[in-house]
Amino acid sequence: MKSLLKNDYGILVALMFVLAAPPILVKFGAMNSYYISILIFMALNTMIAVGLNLLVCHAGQISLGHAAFYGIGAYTSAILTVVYGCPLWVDVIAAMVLSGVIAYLVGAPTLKLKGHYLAVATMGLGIIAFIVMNEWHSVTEGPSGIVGIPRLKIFETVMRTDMQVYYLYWAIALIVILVAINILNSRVGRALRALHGSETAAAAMGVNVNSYKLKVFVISAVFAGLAGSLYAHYMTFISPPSFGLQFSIMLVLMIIVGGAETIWGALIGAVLITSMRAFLGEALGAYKDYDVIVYGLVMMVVMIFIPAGLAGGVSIIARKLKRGSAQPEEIGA
Amino acid sequence: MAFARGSDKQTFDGPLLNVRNLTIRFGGLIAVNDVSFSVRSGCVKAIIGPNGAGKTTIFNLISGIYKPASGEIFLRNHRLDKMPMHMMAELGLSRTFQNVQLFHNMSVLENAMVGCHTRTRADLLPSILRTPGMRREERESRECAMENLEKVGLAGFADLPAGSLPFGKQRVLEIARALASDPELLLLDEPAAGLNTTETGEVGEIITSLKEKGMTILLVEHDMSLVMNISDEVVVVDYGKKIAEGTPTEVQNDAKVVSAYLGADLEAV
Amino acid sequence: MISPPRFFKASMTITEQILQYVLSGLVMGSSYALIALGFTIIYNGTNIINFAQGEFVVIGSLLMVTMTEVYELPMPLAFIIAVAGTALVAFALQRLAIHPLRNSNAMTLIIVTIGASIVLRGISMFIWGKDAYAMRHFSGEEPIEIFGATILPQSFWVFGITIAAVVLLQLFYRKTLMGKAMLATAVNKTAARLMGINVENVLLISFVVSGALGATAGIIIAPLNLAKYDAGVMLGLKGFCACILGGLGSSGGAIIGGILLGIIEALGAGLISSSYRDAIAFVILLLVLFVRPQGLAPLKEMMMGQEKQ
Repeated sequence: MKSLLKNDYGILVALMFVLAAPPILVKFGAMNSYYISILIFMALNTMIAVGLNLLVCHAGQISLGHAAFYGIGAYTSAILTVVYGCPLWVDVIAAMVLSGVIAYLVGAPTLKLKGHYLAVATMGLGIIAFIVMNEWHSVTEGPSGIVGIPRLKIFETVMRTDMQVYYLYWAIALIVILVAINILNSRVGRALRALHGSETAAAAMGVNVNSYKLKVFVISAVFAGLAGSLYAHYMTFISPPSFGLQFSIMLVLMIIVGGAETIWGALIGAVLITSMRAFLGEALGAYKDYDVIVYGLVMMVVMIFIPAGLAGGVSIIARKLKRGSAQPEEIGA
Repeated sequence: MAFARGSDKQTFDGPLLNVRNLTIRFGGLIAVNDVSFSVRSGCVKAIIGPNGAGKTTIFNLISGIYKPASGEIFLRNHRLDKMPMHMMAELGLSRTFQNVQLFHNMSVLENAMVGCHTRTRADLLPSILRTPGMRREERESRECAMENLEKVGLAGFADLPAGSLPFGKQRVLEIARALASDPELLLLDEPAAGLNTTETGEVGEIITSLKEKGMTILLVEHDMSLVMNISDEVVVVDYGKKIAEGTPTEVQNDAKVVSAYLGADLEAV
Repeated sequence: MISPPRFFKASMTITEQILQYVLSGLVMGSSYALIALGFTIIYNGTNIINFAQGEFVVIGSLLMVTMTEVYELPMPLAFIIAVAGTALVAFALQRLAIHPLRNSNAMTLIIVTIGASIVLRGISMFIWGKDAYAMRHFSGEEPIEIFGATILPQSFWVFGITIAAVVLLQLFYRKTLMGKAMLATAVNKTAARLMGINVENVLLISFVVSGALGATAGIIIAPLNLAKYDAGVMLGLKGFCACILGGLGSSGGAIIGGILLGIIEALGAGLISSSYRDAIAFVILLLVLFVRPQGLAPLKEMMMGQEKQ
């Protein structure tokens, strides 16, 4: 088991086993089935966080409007299936493609600029998308939202129960993680890490810096679009408040809390923040409206005291421990 | 197919690098003024000059960090000065940096593997699917990176984080990274800066061994004994202008060069 | 949150309508200009985009409401207390959250300001609740008619105070040592430090001045717009759009960008669609980033042949 956890693929396999546990716990009554729906949200948030993690860690850019891609994915699927009767899964692909195309259009001009203009542009996109969802009644049904979105089907089996959705969505989340790991362990991943290390040196080695930044931004939007589409199919009802600036900030919070050092930071961040959103309000009781203060404080405190995030903090500590036990002698040469 | 560079080596018989009337201004200051020179294939050429003479600026112009106000730069028959930096690497131009710019977040081996970037093709989709072609390329990149680490004596450090190497070794790793791209022209920006005598000697040996294998090298350097030992030709610049060009001996006896150095920076001679 | 131009008469000609929109755009634009100036001052000092800028605006306006309505202080005194109180909040923010991270990269600091904005908004909600407060106009509420359009006396207060704030800021920059130090730091932080300028103090004062400007913006438009704990998000972000429109980092650009944004927004909402009113600023933001990321500032430089490069 220990050696299994040494590489990313090993951790992925271990995670599969861990994910098999909750349904068993529910079956024996050791766990409330309400938690299954929280676990489903964790899967969705993990998909988005993984993409954002690639963007933050490797392109050194941040998006303050990823909820827009989540929303674009959700609305694309909802409109295609409810209004146009589009076949299931085809709409999921369409949601991913449309999110990717919009990311490309926004990213291509802004990623050329020096500085954090992508953050600014995505924030603008997020707000515009939110306003359009609310105001373009003829297409989005405005604030009342779209109802009657079908659950997904695998062959002829409709994903009727939360348990079925849980398995399906986590399987997809694991595939998303696998895709991210594969990207990182490749020429593309090296190029991305290189340009985060030094853009000039990466360009001197032949890495087309802008094109790689754009690629990773588009990938992150595609993941968010996928999650949005799956969200629509799970909830069967969507309305604008799920896709506002606040959710974009929550996504950023996931990345910060988890840390961008490894892809697992995205998972940790998604799991923690999703749980926080589910339980914090309850814990605060009458003060539940003030949960935002907690999120804001968490954001500031993590940035001030553990800027590498939890996963980063752990991996730094692990590295230090390792170095303490087996100090390679030749370094000092 | 992966590791071959579709080059026009045989069809072009002029100088490998040709710099014509290069000029750049920063505000009112003319940092490089009408400088021309060329580098023959297989030659080691050094650009020297007193501090602030414009050597590194010339270097940054050739490697594309700055764009010249006027003038032209050709690598064989490809015009470099209108080209984005990453395209130059595709053409076979590779460089190191005066203030070492390694990828600290990556291992020594991975740094060298980034050098193989232009010689490999696997893009997103093959990487996501880990196609056999992509995996073969990865293997080849790894081998090629290892080979180049061996050339500079860093093979034993392959798995360490690049940032943990002592400074001298970081400089050498930069050379290995540049070599991994199989360059036609290697640009070394002050390869001995910040190194002690032993380390400078090691870098000198590496450059000499590259030269014996026929590598074309253009370097900027302050360490005169290193320059005079390894260079075939020397270009001297002062106040942004070329004041002399020739073999190390010719240049050392040039009156203008002597006065430029005596006037500006005694210790450098 | 920003109400459409009021006092519309049924029978206005199109020219009168346009004049009306331009007038109300000028009012909103003035406050955007002050908010944008606040962004610019912090950006020039620290290279960070302070996402808590909008909270300064709201805290200023809510403090003003409390001072005038609850404690029934005279307007000028309430104004001074509200501005000083907000400046104090900005002071605390810089000391507690920004200063400890002075060696971090810009991205970290930007995220900290986002966190700070959430916390400040939460605290405002805690103190003032979720209600929107109406505020007394500074002087009469009887609309004045000019060329068929109407304008509230408060609008003149808005223009006057905006101009006064800009003039005071210029005097501060040109006449005081601290102001000059701030200009020098904006041009080159390292050089300023070498010249013996206490850059840490400059950055602190940048936040304080920026907080004061934000509060002023909030106070002058509070009588026209109601004051509410969460109004800062949109006001802040629109102020930032104004910065980008004018050219990030340019004070002149911030003022011009703010006023222009106000006018475009009012015209767009009035003539095209009022439901997309809040989207206009962000569409402009994206267009500027795509087409002319340096904003309008270099234009002005070309015409006047001055300002720092």
